[in-house]
Amino acid sequence: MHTALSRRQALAMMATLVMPRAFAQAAAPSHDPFGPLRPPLPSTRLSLTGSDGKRFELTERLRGRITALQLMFTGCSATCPIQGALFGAVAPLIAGQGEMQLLSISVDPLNDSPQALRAWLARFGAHANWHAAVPSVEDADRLLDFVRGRATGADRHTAQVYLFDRQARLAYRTADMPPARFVADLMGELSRLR
Amino acid sequence: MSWRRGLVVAAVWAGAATALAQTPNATRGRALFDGEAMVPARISGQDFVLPAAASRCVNCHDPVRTGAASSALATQRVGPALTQSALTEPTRRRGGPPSRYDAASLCTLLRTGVDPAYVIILRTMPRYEITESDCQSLWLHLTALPTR
Repeated sequence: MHTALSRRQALAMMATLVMPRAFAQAAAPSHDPFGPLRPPLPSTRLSLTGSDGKRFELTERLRGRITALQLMFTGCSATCPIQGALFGAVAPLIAGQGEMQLLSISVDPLNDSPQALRAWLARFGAHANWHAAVPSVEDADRLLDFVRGRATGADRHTAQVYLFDRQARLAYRTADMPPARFVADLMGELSRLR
Repeated sequence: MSWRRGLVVAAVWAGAATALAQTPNATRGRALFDGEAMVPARISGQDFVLPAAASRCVNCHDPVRTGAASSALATQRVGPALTQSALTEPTRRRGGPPSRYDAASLCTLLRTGVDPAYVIILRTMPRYEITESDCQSLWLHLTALPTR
């Protein structure tokens, strides 16, 4: 079982995030399904409606914060409850760290309303740093393409976590269903990068 | 009745009630299947126990019901329907040789993720810390479901 990152793991991860270009060229390319993106990928602009009913733009919400983003939809009974449980477990680990946020984004804009998103958050323990939102129909496809979040099967999306740095850049894709401590540690490592 | 005798009677009643609760039965199995009864479970490699809303069988396995007692629970049917025939007839699963379940192999699968043909199931399915009694109850529930 994964617990906190060891010193060696943390240093290795930091190295991948800040690696000079010459070393980055020899490393795994950013189209790998998971791992660090080198260089980090600037976020695409998407219009979203939050669980509070207010509209916002994705890049603006990401800028200046360390963000862990996951894909879900409230009508999904298989992996999405596990996604909800994951962020429900990460949330206490980042409590009190105002610049960190968790963002669950629905890939079902035709069926997911702010009300449904609120109920979904409540089911897994709503938290001040955890938000949910739904994009417009056309932006849902753009979001899936941007994070490479498409998957076959009933769920239609991966169970990965996508980590963004303060510059609103996608910096890391985890494997499917990562441990909560791993996500929190990655957010901590990103927060130490200036 | 003296207070000593009262204590003895209460202890006997409590013991009988506990024994009854631990006796495997299909009603308990159905509660486990629907998530009304909680079994500690986690995704392999993850570091937290899933809430019942995320670990209940019905989330992924079609709840076949007898008579008019259909379930109101939504399911995506990403896993196979779990009926007596589906479990106990020789079937190729996950690319392995034909295999069939019995109560013991179902318990092994739930706890370890290894099926009767020694093939590991998808990581999406939680691993359950299920007691022998609860596992028997689940088996009784599933094998009482109609074939279709």
